[in-house]
Parts: sequence; C-alpha cells; structure tokens
Amino acid sequence: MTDSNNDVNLMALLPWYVNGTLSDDERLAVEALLQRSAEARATLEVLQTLQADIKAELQEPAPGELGWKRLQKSIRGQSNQTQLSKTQRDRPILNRFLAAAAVLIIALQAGLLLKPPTDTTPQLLGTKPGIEQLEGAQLYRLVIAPDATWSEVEALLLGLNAQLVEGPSAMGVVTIAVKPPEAQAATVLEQLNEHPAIEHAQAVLNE
Amino acid sequence: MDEDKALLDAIIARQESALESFYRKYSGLVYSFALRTLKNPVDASEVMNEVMLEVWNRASSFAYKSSIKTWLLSITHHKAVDMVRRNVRHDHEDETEIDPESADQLSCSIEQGEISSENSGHIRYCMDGLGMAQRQVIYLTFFEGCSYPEIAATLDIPEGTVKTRMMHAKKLLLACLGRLIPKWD
Repeated sequence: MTDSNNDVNLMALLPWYVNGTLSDDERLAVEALLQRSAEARATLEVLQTLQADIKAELQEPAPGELGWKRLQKSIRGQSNQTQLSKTQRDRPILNRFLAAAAVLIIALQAGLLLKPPTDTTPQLLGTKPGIEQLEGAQLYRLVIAPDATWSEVEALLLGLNAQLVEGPSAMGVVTIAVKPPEAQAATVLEQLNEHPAIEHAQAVLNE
Repeated sequence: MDEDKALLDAIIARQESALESFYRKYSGLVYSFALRTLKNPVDASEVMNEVMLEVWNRASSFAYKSSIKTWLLSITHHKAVDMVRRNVRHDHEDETEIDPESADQLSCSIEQGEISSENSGHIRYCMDGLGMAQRQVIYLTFFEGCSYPEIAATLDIPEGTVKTRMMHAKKLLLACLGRLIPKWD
C-alpha cells in the first residue's frame, strides 16, 4: 500500500478518532497522520465541531409513562391471546363464549389503561371500533403535546365525535377515526393541528 | 453488564417488573435511533414498542456476543427497515430505497430551506436531507458514540461500507451546513 493510500484510509478513520472508539494501533496511526497533515488537522476540527453540535441538537425527550403503558397493554394482550388459543384447542365447544370473554378482558384493560370512562365518553374507550363503524371515516394519528392532560385530549375527541382506534403509544401517539359532518370535513386536520393539546396530527390511510 | 444480565434473566422468567426497568433504561436509546432513522415520531414510537416486545418474547436469543446496546440498535434498525418497506404513507424516495451505496443528493439551499441561519435546527434539517443509510451512520457515530465495527454489526453491513457511507454523508452534511451557517462555510 502506498503512503498516499494509507493516508486516505487513515482520513476515513477520523470520525471514530473523534468519538474515541478506535483501537490503540489505529489511534496511534491517526495521531501520526495529524502531525504531518494540515488537511487532517482541519478535518479533525470540523468533525469535533460537528459532533458537539449533533450531541447538543439531537437530544430527544425520552419516551415516558405512556410508552410503558402501551407496552404493558401489548404484552398483556399477547398473553390473553395465547391463553385463548390454548383453551380453544383444548375445548373447541366453548370457542364463541371464550372469544367473547377475551374481547371483554381486552376492552376492560384498554379502558383501565387510558382512564376510567365517564358517562359522556363511552365511544372513546375500549376496543377498536368495528369495520362498519370505520366505513367512511378518516383516520388520523396524533402526537399528544407533552404537557397536555388526557382530559383535554378527551374533550377534543368528543368535540369531533372521534373514536379511538389505537394507542396511546410511546410519546403519546394515538390513532383516531373521525367521521365529521360534511361541512367540517376539510377542517378536521386543521383543528387537530391547532389544538394546544396536540403536538402534531396527520391523516393516515385506512388499511 | 451484570445488571443487564440479571434484567434479561428476569425477563426470560416473564417478570414484568424487569421489563419495566429495562424499558426505562433503554427506551430513550431505541426511540431516538428509530426517530433519526424514520424522521417520524409516530412510526418511531411504533418501532420502539415492537423492539421492546421482541425483547420480552426473545430475550433468550441474546447470546452476549455483542453489547446489549448493539443488540437493541440492531433490532431497532431491522424493525425500522420493515416499517419503511410496509409503510405506504412514506412519500420520500430515499427512504423506501435501502440501497447501501446510494448517495442521495441534498436538496438543501437557502431558498429551499425552511430554517434561517439563526435557527438552531440546522443540524436536524441537514441530517433529515440525507438518505436513511447515511443518516444512521452519522447518528450512530457522533451521537451514540459507536465504533465502526459496532455500526457494521448493528446495520449488518461490512465495515468498509460503514466508512464509505460516512464519507458520502459527511460531504453532503457539511455542504448543506455550509450553505446555511456561516461557521460551516
């Protein structure tokens, strides 16, 4: 290998010299390059600034309690499904009864994880809406603002006559179905995005 | 590592409290990498949930040949790629194309940019202009502090490819920043 090729290879290692993860041999070779090459020193300086800026700017808020609740719901739902499958294999005659019971359990879990339902919000809580309920509805995914309360979100969804399809997810993501009166259809996304309890809303395909 | 091993053993024994501790320790790592990969908080949170479910269901498959961090980042990468492939909503060509050698061109200029030079979002903006594969290498190197062998293991690519992606990504990123921020010019 020529010296020139070797220097090109060492220049390629500079990003990992900056983050301190090179092996001892590699580190010493790069340091020798830095001593003899002004170009390498200039690149090093740029990469050090880049690393500092990336670390400062790309800090994301860690997913919080909602993410854990969502995960709990997933693992418990999985467990319920497994138990149901086993029982179905053992006692096929009870299939319909057990399926209904499992749906009820999942519905209760979903309700408990979100918030105990109030008299005015039965359509927001529980299991996914049936296919017939979603026909003609538009789905939206919402990222709930970090400082919003669930009651604010609930009030917004009630105002739109929306149904909860999925969530809340990590970072407070929910999917909702909205079938607004024709006159309001065009403004739903706008209303969602402008609401202080919603950080971001987007329409999604109803798969 | 001992603490993590104890957590994984407890997860294998189906102790939900162990999964909760594991989640609280690693969800930030998983979510941030998913977010930088997918550029979408909705999809990133879905991927994070899938990754943690995989830990719950398949913790026994972890053979301690790599660090837990590399293992988690690798699962996150594969789940994110699956998400990109099945997500018909994505409208960015560069995200549906997972060609490791693709050198996406940044359409980043002051005229097209959504940020001003005073805006501190310049790094995020220019990184979002990179292709997914290049963005991941930059993020894993400079934010997560991964070595290039760790990145190769995470993304399941040769070490030489990591260096090639870094070279292209660095060039595009610095070109974009140079157009936006005086200090990078």
